Amino acid sequence: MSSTALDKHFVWRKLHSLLGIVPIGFFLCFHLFENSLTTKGPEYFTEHVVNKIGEMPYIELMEIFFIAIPILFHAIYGLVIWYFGQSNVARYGYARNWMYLLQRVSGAVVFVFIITHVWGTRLEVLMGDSVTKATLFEHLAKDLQNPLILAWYIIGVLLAIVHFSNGVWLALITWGITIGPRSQRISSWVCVFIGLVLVALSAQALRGLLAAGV
Amino acid sequence: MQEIHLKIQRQDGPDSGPYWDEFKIPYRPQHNVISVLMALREHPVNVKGERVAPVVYEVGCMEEVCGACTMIINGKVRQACSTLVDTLAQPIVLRPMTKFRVVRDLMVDRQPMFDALRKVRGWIDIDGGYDIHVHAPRISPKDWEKNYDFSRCMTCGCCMEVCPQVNTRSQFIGPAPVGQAWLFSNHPTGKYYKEERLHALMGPGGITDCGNAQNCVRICPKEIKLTDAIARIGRDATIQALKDLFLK
Repeated sequence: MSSTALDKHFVWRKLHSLLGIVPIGFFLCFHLFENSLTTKGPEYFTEHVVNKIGEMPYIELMEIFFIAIPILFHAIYGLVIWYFGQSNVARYGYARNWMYLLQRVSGAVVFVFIITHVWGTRLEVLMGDSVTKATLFEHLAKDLQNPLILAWYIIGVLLAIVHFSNGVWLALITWGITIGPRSQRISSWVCVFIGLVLVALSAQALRGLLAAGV
Repeated sequence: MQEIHLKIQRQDGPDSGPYWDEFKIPYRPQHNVISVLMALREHPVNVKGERVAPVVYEVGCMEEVCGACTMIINGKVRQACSTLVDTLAQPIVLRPMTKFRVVRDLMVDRQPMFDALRKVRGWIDIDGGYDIHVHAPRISPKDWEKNYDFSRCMTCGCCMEVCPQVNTRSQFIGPAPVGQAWLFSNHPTGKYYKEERLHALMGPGGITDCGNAQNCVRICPKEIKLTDAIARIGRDATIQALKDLFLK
């Protein structure tokens, strides 16, 4: 093996791992935080969240290069990784082995969820005339009155949080930060805490949208 | 209990299909699975009364240090010689490991593991263009203790069997060879080839193919801290990658 250049396989795997944290994980945290502001009502949300973000310079470029392309790469390469694994939880039902499977299943479900979610929000604002930035809050609040859409959102967001929290735990190992079982046990509790904070933010977002009474 | 009831997954050759065969042999106290197979070999008649070819299996040390008799016993991969029949539910179901090519019956070919050791330079050079061991290499008791843990690896294949990332589709080298790469790079003489070992583990099938299901550390009959080695190699690979990027 060449000792001067990094192996392509290594670089792709590391890039996949890195993108899951930066920018995708950071974006997820920011996204859930901003959405928790729906509790402040439609006017506040439209003015201080939707419009503020919309007015950021280079916002479309950032959306494409910091959100869309990393997610597409992370998701598709993640499916490739899944293909090369062979889960065996039926025979070896250890908790970590279940998390191995859950990381793959959640990734795939969240990928589908993100496509439907972006289609139903960002792309509708971009392409259609029916939804504008001003009516985005109402549009989403109305959609969530449908119990099927509501259930799909709850599943999608919860699995995204599970995937991210467990992903942080994994990245801490694979990048060489948590080595021994004790540090990995502590980091698993830290990751559970991160997950719970994100669940709380999501619950706030949902409460704000449902309380709007559209 | 008057009889020992065995259900064995057999296979006549590497390319033929598997089939089940059942046997009953008289009970004797303190049998282990290998001694049962030895007893069966003396009188290989199955429950249908047919005299069949004796069941093929591999055995070496009979004290769980060679790894040769590893097989799946009642659904769990372990060494047959140290598995006592009195602790098992009947019928005792024996299968060959699934991650290796079956040679015949319960005997598998663990060559991929030995090839992997070759790939990661799983040895220490005792000779070279210079005197390597003028005196015995010095090693701290702490390093010695940690290395001793990993030196007990018997290449049995249990960790390969339970690893979801080791399968026919993937090239993953498996937990044991990663542990051995770490061991030999943590030895005062072996450490001179640490970079070579890391580069061998930074390609396809290397350290990045670990999925952290961590089954290996749970199943290892020698309780080797395989996930420690994997995480340490992961850290060393990260550092090596930075060296490769910026120092070269």
